[in-house]
Amino acid sequence: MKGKRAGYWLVLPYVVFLLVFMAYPVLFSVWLTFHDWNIVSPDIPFVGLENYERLLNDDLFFKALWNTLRFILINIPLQIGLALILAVALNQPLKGRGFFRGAYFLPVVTSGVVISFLWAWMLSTDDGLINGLLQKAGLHPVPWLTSETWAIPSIAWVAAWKNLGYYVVIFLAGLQSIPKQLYEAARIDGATPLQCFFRITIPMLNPAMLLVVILSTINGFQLFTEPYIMTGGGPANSSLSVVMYIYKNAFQSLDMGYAATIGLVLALIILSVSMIQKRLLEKDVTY
Amino acid sequence: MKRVGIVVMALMLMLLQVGCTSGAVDNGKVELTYWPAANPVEVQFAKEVVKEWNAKHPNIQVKMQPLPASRSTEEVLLTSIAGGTTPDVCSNINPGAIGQFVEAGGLLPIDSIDGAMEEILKRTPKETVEAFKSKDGHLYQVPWKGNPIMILYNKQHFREVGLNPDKPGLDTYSKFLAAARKLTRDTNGDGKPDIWAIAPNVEQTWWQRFFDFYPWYLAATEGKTLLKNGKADFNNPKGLQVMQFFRTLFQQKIAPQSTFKENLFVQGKVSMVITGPWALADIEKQAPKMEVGVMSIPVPDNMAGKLRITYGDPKNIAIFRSTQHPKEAWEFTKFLISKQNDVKFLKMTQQIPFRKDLAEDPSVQQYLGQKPVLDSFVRQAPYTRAIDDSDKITDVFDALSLEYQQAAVMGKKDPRKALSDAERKVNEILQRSR
Repeated sequence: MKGKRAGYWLVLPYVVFLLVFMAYPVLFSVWLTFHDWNIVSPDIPFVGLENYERLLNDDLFFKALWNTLRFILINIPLQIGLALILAVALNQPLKGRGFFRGAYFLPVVTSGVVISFLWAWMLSTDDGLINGLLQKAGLHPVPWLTSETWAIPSIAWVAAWKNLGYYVVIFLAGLQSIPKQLYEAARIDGATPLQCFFRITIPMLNPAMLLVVILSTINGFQLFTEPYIMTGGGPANSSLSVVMYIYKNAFQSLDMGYAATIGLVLALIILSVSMIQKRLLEKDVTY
Repeated sequence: MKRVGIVVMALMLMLLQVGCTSGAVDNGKVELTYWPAANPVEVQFAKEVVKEWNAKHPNIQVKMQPLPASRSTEEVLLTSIAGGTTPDVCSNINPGAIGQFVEAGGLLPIDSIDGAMEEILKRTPKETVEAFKSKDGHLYQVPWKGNPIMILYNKQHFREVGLNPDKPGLDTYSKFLAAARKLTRDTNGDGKPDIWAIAPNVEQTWWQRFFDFYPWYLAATEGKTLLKNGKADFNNPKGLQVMQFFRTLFQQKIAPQSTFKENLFVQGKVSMVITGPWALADIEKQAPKMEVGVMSIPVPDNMAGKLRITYGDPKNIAIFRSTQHPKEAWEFTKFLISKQNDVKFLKMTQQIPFRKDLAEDPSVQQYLGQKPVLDSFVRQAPYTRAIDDSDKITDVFDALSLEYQQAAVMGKKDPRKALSDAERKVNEILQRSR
């Protein structure tokens, strides 16, 4: 009995932390979705489902959601494809392997703001490095960040470039846990390297793949820094992400209730998408 | 024994979570918190002023804490109001964005403090003070400083293309555009310009319009702001001329579509920049050899020679109602806006205090004599406007900014249509109860 009580005391600090910094804000923001609050005002009137009604009729919210989905659809395949190729390459006994592993991880630990500044400069339309190179090669310049067509693909590329190293590390860990004898057995049976890759590596990487897909989906839905810095959400709101829209409602229009509503809906969307992904992708592969 | 240790540890951790509250009175001693803007020169100024004050007033100690270097002061203040952690005094208050603070009763009416109005009127012209009064007739902000938006130019570039570097005379749209066409040049023969005349921001972010559409509109309308009687007032021939001016700049490729975030002007990649006097310190540091000239915002051709008004980017001082020591807070504010500190502020930050007798001060005269560019800003300062006092002003600028980007920058919409669309949207925003 005595030992039990000591245990409660020991977990108390963490429980208090959890209640104050996790549970309370979450419950408060759910409560906010039924209210109208402009931060400065002491009174917070109850408005029922008004915020939800407004959300269903808000074209800009759906545009931001569509922008975010477009981002995810470009960003994730790009990111996972490149990460997989790099991980397989870095898993070979190459010279200077440690250097490359570090180099690819560097952008992950660099501030997203710095990376966005850097790429905004390189992708600048009339005075950027990349268009300068394109023109030297006799090609037409591309309005990377100043056209409604290209803004999201450009941002998806920058985000993929930044996060690549993180997923490379996960894939590397996955690759190293594949038993060597599977490859040996396959080789004896006359399998080509390509067959080995698609029949052994990919299926055996399934747990890592699941983790990477879910993590990058969750990350993707929370897109903020890159468009905030590189395009300001434009042109014509074509790169406004859902989180940027939350930020705009909260801090520009001072509409906390509505911002909380979008936040809650976004959280539910992320939850359901992750569940579906888990259902579709999780397979128990053993040989 | 062990258990006591655990309890103590848990309690200490809890205390850490709760955090500490400050500003308490301790044996007759008063502590005030003061938040200045976060840029390095202003922080340095605040440090020196606070140090001097604290040495002179052992019983009223001021704690200086720069506003977090987030993008907008308003966001920081709003969150601190919500969290109940407002300072006693803050000196980076944007008059256009405080309607809501006032409405919520977050600020102390300055005119309720004994002797404050006399002191303020001694320092600042009456019209300027009147313009900062809120709808209820009270003054909630001590007028502090302004930064008139003008155009700085690189004299060397002007010389190279045959413009008079001392009197370029680009006071109307057609003269300005003609000169700009010459200034945008390909100097290394690769078939594309590498020096541009000017590079207005291409993004939709609302406050970027303080540096293009808005000062141009104020100049063209001789000082009319965007709203009138609670309605949009900018869909008029002048607004259209301004929109078309910027469309011409981007359409004729005199201005680049650039998302480069560094200072193109100090790098010699653009010949002109639309900015306030704060930019001078930066230019001196980054390009000490550059010869810089300054001119007012150009106006439509038929207005040549008229008085030019521009955006004044005013920043004022507010005392928060949450303060427990309004009298002491005012005393400190009075020290902050004393003549001695106004002169110091001008020299340290190259920004312009709202003080009538500033230019009469011999040390200021001597100082400005060596700095003709800053002198022009000081002379422009009285001819400025703020933004409209509306709690929806950011949304108003946001709507206008989107249409500006579509019409002027991208050329996807007729300027006429963009203005009437912006007018409709702004009126919708203003009519929304909330």
